[in-house]
Formats: sequence, C-alpha cells, structure tokens
Amino acid sequence: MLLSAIDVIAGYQPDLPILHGVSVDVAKGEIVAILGPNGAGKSTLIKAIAGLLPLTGGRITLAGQSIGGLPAHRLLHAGVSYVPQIGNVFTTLTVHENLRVAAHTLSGRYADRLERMYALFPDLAAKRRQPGRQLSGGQRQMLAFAKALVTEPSVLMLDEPSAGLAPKAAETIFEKVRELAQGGVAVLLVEQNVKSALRFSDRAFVLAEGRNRLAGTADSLRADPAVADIYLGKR
Amino acid sequence: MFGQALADGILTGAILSLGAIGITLCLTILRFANFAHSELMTWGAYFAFTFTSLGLMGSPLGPLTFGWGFLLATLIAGALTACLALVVDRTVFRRLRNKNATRLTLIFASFGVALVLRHVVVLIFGPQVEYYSRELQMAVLLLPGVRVMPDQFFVLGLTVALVVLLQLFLTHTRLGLAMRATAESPMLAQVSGIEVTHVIAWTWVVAGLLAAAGGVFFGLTVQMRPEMGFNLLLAVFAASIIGGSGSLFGAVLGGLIVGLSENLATLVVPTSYKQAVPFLLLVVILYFRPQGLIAAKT
Repeated sequence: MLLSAIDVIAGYQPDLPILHGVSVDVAKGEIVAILGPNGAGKSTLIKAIAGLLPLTGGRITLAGQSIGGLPAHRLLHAGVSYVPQIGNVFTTLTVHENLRVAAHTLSGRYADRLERMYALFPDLAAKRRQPGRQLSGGQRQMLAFAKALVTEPSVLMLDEPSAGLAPKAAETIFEKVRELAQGGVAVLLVEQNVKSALRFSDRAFVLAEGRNRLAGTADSLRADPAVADIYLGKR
Repeated sequence: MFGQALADGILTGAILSLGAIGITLCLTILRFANFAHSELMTWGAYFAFTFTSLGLMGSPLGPLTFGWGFLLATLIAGALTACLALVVDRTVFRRLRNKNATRLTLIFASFGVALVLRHVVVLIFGPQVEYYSRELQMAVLLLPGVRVMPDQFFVLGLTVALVVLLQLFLTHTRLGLAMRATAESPMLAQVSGIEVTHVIAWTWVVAGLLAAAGGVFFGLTVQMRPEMGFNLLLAVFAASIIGGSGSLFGAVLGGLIVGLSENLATLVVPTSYKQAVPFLLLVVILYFRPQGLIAAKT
C-alpha cells in the first residue's frame, strides 16, 4: 500500500476524539472511497491524514515512511495533496496566482507545469487573469484540482469533489480522477453520494461513528445490503 | 487657506497610510487589531534619532535638511523596528497564538505591549520633544498661498515609492503571494504548501519597516515625542478601517481621507478638535458602509 492510516485516533480537540481507531489504505493507481453517514468522521479522517488535525493515536505511513504528525505544508512536499470540500481556491487571487502558489512548493522552474495544467483544463486557461471569485462552481472545482495536481502528487485526497456541482460537471471531475489514477496516482476521496462513489471507485471503506464498519471492493459493497443499513442507522 | 490645508492633508495622509498598511496586514494575516502598531512608528522614529544624534545626518542634500547619513539611519531604523516587531511577537503574541488565545485576548495583550513600548521610550529618551535637525528650511511657494517644505516633498515621494514597491512585492514575489493567500485562508494556504509561521514572521518585518518609515517621516516633518505613536493610533486605525481593512489601496485611500479631513476640518472647527475628526469619520463610515470603502471581495 502506498498510503496507510492505521488505528487513527483524532479530533478537533485532543480530549474529544471523533475517530476512535480508524484504518484505511490506498495503493498506487487505485481510487478508494471513504463512505458513511453524516458525522461518521470521513472529513475528519482525511484532514487528520492531511496534517491539519493533531493525531492522538495511530500511525500514518507513505511508502513505508511515517508521515503522521507532519504539518500540512510538509505533506505537500512529501507528495500528498489534499483538496478541501469548500473554500478550496483563493478567491482573491487570480487563477494563475492560485496555480503559482501551489507550484511554489516545487524547486526550480515551474512555468511548463502551469502550462500543462492549462492544457489539461482549457476552461482555466481562458480565465487565467480572473480572480477565483469569478469562477463558476465547476470551474472552481477544476482550479482546486489543478492546484493539487501542479505539484505532481503521488497521493491525491479529495473531500467531496462533486458536492454542489451539476451532474455534468461532477461527471467531468470523476473522469479526470479516473485518468489520474490510470496514470498511477493513488486517490483517496470522501463521498456523500454512495451510488456514484461506488460506481467509479475500486474499493471503499464505510465508516460510522468514528469507526470502521465495512470495507471491500466497490462491486462487493454495491451488492451488500449492510451498506444501506449503516446509512439508515440500523447497524 | 484651503490649498494649504489640502497640501498638509495629503502629507499627513501619506504618513498615516504607512501606519494603516501595517494595521491592515496585522488584521488580515494575524487576524487581530494590533493597538501596539503605532508604537512601532514611535520606535522607528527614535531608532533613527539615536543615529542622527550620534552624528549620522550627512551634509544637507540641496534644499533638504538632511543628507545621505539620515537615509542610512532611516534604513537601519527600519531593520531594527522589524526586529523589535519580531521580538514582541516571539515574547507575547506567538505564545498566545500557540495557546489558541481568542482575538480579544490578543487585542488586550497589544494594549499592554503598547504601554510597555511607549514607556521604555520615555525612560530612554525622556518626555521632551525632539527634532532630527534644527536647521531652518525655506518653504517653496507651490501655488499662491500654498507653501510646502522640500522635506515634505521628499517624504511624499518616498511614501509613494514604498507603496508601489509593496504592491509589486505582493503581486510578483513568492512571499507576497503567500501573504495574500494566508490572509484569505490560513488552512488552504497550509495545504497549498505555505508555511504559515514563516509568513507571519515576514508580515511583522514588512509592518515594522513601514511603521518605521512612517515614524521617521512624521518626526522629520512634524516632531518626535514618546507619545507620538499613541496620538497617531486612532487616525491610523480609522484609516485602515475606512479604507476597508483588507486591501493595500484601501489603507492608502483611508490614510488620505483621514489626513485630508483632519486638515480641512481646521478651516471650520478650532484646531484642538482636529483629533476628533477621524473618530467622527470612523463612526459615519461604520454606520453607512461597515465593510469600508474598498472592501475585500470574496
């Protein structure tokens, strides 16, 4: 496994854990979804892995190296990129400045990498001088995505990438995610929409109340009635 | 009369802008109202005074009252004030931040810091008024009834240059971009690879440099007293808030508005009421446009 989180205990306050020992992992080229009802701790888990929350317990490793407790800006250098659910682009900075901020973590010249992002997302190329606040929801999500990709991460973590998007825009995002995974990036994503998440991910972990409940391939979970029970609070 | 008040207002406004930019940086990046900021202006002025009283003044350049030595003293004062700002952050504000202190705690702490900084100046330099130079300067008749000192011209030009430089810094450098990013969202800045503690330290440096410049310019064109910063505090805050705390040009615009209104008001009300004008303006702006004239859009 490229990224492993083992028995993670974390929360917003050290004495009030939201996660009570959660484990997830993702391999190179794989798309893994983290599912679960509201309050399951999905976003908390991804923030803890991203270095935004202190770990009270457990281990997080990247290619065998411990990365637990590293501050968020160091994780990006290590190759783990995180896209928050909301507020994931700088609205007061132009599209180009947004990409530059992310590219600054790279050493050396990065102009060609920015151009590669514009080639990948032509919508953004046309708006490169516009501030982030003038972008549509879908374009913002594209920019957030491009920001995360400019550093060429080995692990990409997305918090509800399709939230608030029109179905077509969400589909475009999912296609891009699929392409990335085929290129060898490990993708870990939190999704509220179980159906679409299980349709395009390889594996999934289902959490409830800060604990692991189910895990398996997307195909097996799609057929498992226990998934619906967890969402309905029956288990 | 009107022309003179206008000219004086623009000069006062320029100096206030330098302080207001520092307040704005503190409000947006450090996220608290730093009431000790104007004391950095006092310290900047007195740091430079230390060197000029040791003889670092230089022979006057043309019609100005000072020479290259004074400019060097100003530069050193800027560096020392930046260091002072960093020391204050390390000893007071950073400790509070690490303890997750609320914004209100930081504000009250800044009042304490202001008191200490101000009284250390009194202890070292005494309460009397000081000047960099006692040389007489011939005012230039700019327009009929409008007299401007060459020093004032110089101060205005240098202030404009500093603001332009700061704007270029914020838009064209890595650090400037990181500062703007952190001002908008520290969390997103972190996950975008920005080390926020590093940005905070540089914010103090920039704020300290500009405060020192403002303090020295005030000392040069008006006078120096240990309570000069305290007397500027309200005007500088009003400038920052009127302009719309969050943008560089807002702070500059706010500075000019406060400076102009203070000086133009003397045409209709007694001079002793001058200091009440920024307060009045602040109340009016907060009532009609609480986000300030140039509000940061999100």
